[in-house]
Formats: sequence, structure tokens, C-alpha cells
Amino acid sequence: MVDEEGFREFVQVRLPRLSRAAYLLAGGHAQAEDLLQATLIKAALGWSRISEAQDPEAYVRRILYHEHVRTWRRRRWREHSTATPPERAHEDGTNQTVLRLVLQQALARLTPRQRAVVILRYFEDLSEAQTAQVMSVSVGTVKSQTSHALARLRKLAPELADHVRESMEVGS
Amino acid sequence: MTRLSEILDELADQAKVYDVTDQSVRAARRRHRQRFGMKTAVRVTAAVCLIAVVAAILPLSFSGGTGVPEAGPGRLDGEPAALVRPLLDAPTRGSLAGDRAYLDAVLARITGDPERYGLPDDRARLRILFAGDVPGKRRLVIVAGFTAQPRKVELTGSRGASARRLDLTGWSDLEEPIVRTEWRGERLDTGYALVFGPAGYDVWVSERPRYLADGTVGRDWRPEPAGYVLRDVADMPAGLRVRMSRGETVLYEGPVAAVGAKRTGAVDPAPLYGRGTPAPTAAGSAADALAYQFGLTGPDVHYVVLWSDAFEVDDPNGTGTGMGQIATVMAVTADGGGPYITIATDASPQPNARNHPTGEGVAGDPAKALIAMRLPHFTAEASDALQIIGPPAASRAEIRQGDTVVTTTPLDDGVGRVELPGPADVTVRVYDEHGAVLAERAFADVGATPAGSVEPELKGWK
Repeated sequence: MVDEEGFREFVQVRLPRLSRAAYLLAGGHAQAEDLLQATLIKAALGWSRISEAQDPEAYVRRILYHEHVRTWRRRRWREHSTATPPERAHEDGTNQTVLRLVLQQALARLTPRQRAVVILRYFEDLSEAQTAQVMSVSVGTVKSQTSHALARLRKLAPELADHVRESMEVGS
Repeated sequence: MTRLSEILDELADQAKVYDVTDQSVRAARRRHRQRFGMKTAVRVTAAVCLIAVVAAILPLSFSGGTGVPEAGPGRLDGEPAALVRPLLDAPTRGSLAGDRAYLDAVLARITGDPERYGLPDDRARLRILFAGDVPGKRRLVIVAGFTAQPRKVELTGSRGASARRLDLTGWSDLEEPIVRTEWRGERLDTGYALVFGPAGYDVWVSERPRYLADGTVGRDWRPEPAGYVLRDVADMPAGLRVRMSRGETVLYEGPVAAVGAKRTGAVDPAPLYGRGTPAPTAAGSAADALAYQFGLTGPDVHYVVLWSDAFEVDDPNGTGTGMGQIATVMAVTADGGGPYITIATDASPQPNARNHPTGEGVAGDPAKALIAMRLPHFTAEASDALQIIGPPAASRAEIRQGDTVVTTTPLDDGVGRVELPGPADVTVRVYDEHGAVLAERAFADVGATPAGSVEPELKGWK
């Protein structure tokens, strides 16, 4: 890495945003830290090339999402999701805290690619074309993955159904 | 109405700022140095190419890293999970297990500088899992933290090294109740493989399995009196496997380590029964991988290409994009059956290889075997294609779920492909031209045990 100072400056500014995305993808603090570190190591190794790109942030985001899927691949024989829906809160299920908890549990049950597509579309607020670029897939795949992911979210967490439906209408 | 994006945003508020910049920069510097060393090594020896292929097909037994273990939130707090606690509570294994002074010296070294090891500073929260001299003229000590997210570190040195002279050579999270670790010297024929688990289980080993013509594997088991498996890789028998059990209950069964053998003899790239087109690069890589992993070499073993073809590769990095190769190669043993593996190579001048977990397994008589597998891929996105390799007389395949036929496809010399989005859990049945069933087998995408795996690992805790 030639321009270490430049890399540090770049990361410093984007660290809060990257941390938030890593947390959503990984689902826990330790895992998010590991994911972000693996991402930044790769970014540091390729910094001379990345820094010359038109949009270095998009490049690093791409590494983050690919690393998320890759990490899952390495571990997939140790972890597999169950068909059992997450436990639901017993409250009325309408307040924000409950929704947040329900969403957190439901996200953990999605496949890594489904989780990635939800976060790219609805947290990063990327278009389908931009999401396809980050995930190195076609726009058609993004559409189908998004549809599957939202359908699964609705199934896993009926409390979110209205919110998911609303998001689909806005996002479509 | 709150939208999904707003709830996601609130959920993200729980994130901390994970400032791992320093660690990342340090690690990148280390890897840069290692890459430089690797490039030099590749120029020196072609054997590295073999390792590169084989590394892709071996299960990862070490998920951590080298250098100093970085800290993480909560790494040093809490109590271990019930799953790994019996391992942490087990007595120390190894030839130095009874050397209290030596073990004390190791613990004193760690508690004197705990940050360097990423372990607790309290001796009561440290466990020495293994300490002893091991093959390869080395000394190995494995220490773990008694914490909610236990981490183990490996300290190694030359045979007889004092606690002070051991180097921190690796670390990883302890997520399962067994430890598998392996080291090979540069010449690959020196080193050790070590597997151990909690106390209270009978430990058995089995080697040189019989791959039978009906597609099954025959094994004889004998007790391992030491209670753990430690082997010299120079004498590693083919197919060495360990089982830890209590009565009928199996805690763990799996391979000890790859044999590391070099292939003997050439591979005829012409696919058997004319199934596909020759793919010599992929076929050679697959045969190398079989020899390395199973140690099936010598006059009693011959390699046959069950199917091979050109293979279109889309490489996100660009360098491998183009027309590569794919081959399913089987090591046919004297008992009539043998393991097979599928390797795809990209279009790079020095081809990169990929496999897929469903593309390996054990087959019986190649003329009767039926294989169903996903294809390796170089992109993040997996293919929906399901490749079928059946007996040469098979002219049609049905994909079934129970009594329902999901899809069907004609076969050419027993070979065909269907689009079947995953995850799938189906039965593949193939027919001859008169409609008679020639073979049938299950295929599943997900789960710990892909159908047809080469003697899959059994983990009693899953």
C-alpha cells in the first residue's frame, strides 16, 4: 500500500457508515468487527488501484458485501438456517423496539445473499442496477432475490408485513 | 407507516464504530509480505500449483489467522457455551501433559502479556489443551481462554523448546468441541496432524477404506489408546479417519488429514463412454486433488474421466473470464469403486480451480454410477444448473419430489443438465430408451451432508 495516509483518511470518514452496514450484515458486534476488518484488509491491499477508481466508496462497499457472502460460504457447513420462525415478542407488536427486534431476528434467518440484497436496497438505498453491480449479478437476479427476501421476511415476521409491503411499493 | 428502511436504520443504530483501521493496515502489510514470498515460491516450485488446487477442496480446519490475535468486544468475558465447555474442562493432552513446571511456565508467559495472545490475564481462565513434542521435530502447545467466545492459540517451537522459546504461530475461535490441527513443512512430507476432543469418549481410528463396486465404503475400526490422534504426515495412511463415541452415540467422526500424496501415472483425458469433450487441464487437476486428499496412488489405482467439457467462466476479477474446462474424475480402486471429484478451471494462463461440495463423492462401478451435482462457480452467484452424469445407456432423467416429477431432461450418453433453482431436495431417476429405471439417487443442496459426499463428517452436536 503506497498511500497509507490516504487510506486512513478515507476509512476515517466512512467508518461509521461502514460499521452500520457491517453490523446489519453480520448480526453481531464481534462478527461485524471481523467482517469490517476483513474488508479493510482487502481494501488496503488494493488501495493503489481503488483510490484511482471513480468511486472508491462503491469499490469498498462491493468488497464488504462479497466478503459477507464469502465468509458465509466458508462457514456454511457449520451454520445452517432452520425452518423455525424466530420467537415473537409477546407485546402488541407495534412499537418500534419490538419491530426492530423482530427484524433483527428475521434478518438472521435470511440467506446471506438475501440479507445483502435487503440491506443494499433498503438501507444503502441503492437502485436495482447499483445493487446488481455491487453483488456482481444481473438486475433480474436482484429483482428475484429481493422478492424472495421480502417474502421470507413477511413469512418469518408477520409483524413486518405491512412495512415490507410499503417498502416494496416505494421501491418498485 | 414506518418503512423497512427506517427500521433498518434504527437497527443499525445499535452498531458501534468498529475502528479496525490499525489492525487492517498491519494485516495488509503482513499479507503483502506473504504474497511477495508466495510469488517467489511459485517461481521456484511447481508443487505449489498442486497445493493451490488441493487447498480448494479440503475442508478448512483452521478458521483464524496468524500474527497477533486482534481484540474484539466481549472476547475475554463471560462463560463458555455448554458445547465447548467439556473440551475446555478436559485434561491436557500430549507428552508434556504431566510436566507441571513446563505448563506453569507457559501460563506465566501468557499472563505476563495477555494482549499479545488475545487471552485473559487470569490463569484460572486459561486452559492448556495440548502440550507435547510432535512429529516434524516440533513442539506444540495449544492454549484456550475460558470465555464466552473462547479463542485458542497455538505456540510452536523446535522439539524440546522451552516455554520462552515458543512462537505464537496461529489462533482461531473455538466453536466446536473438537480440535483439529495440522502442520506441514515446506517439503510436505514432514509435519503432523492432531485431533482431540472432550474427555470421556472412546477414540477409534480406521484407515485404508475399501471403496466397493456397489458405491459403499468398507471400514474396520480399532481403538486409539492415547485418547487422541497424533500422526506424522510422512506416514499418513490413506483414508485415516477418527471417531469419538460413547456407547452408540457418536460425538464426532471425520478425516484426520489429507494424505498429501503426489499422483502417480497419467490421466487419459478422453472421457469414459465419450461423455463430453477432453479437458486435460481440469482432469489433471482433479486427479492431483484425489491423490493428495485420499492417497490413492500406485498400480492398483487408475483415474478415469467420468465426464468433461469446456466450461464458460465469468470471473468477477476479469482475469479468468472466458472458456475454461471442467472434469469429473474418479480414482477407481481394486475393489471396483472409488472417490470422485469435479474441478473447473478458468481461462487464466495459470488456471485457477474451483470445486463444489456436491461435486465430490464415492461411486461404484463407473458404468452404473449416477452423479447429480451443482457446478463450480467463480462468481458470488451460484448457478441454478444441476448436472447429471448417469450410466451411458441412460437416455432420460427425471427430477422428482416424492411422486411429483418436477422436471425432466434427455440425456446424451447418460449426461444432461437441468435448471433447478436451489435449495433443492429431490430424487434424480434415470431411464434407458425403453423406459426402464437404470439408477436413482437423492440430491440435496443444503445441510451439513451433501448427498453423495465422500464420507462426510459426522458432528453429533448438530
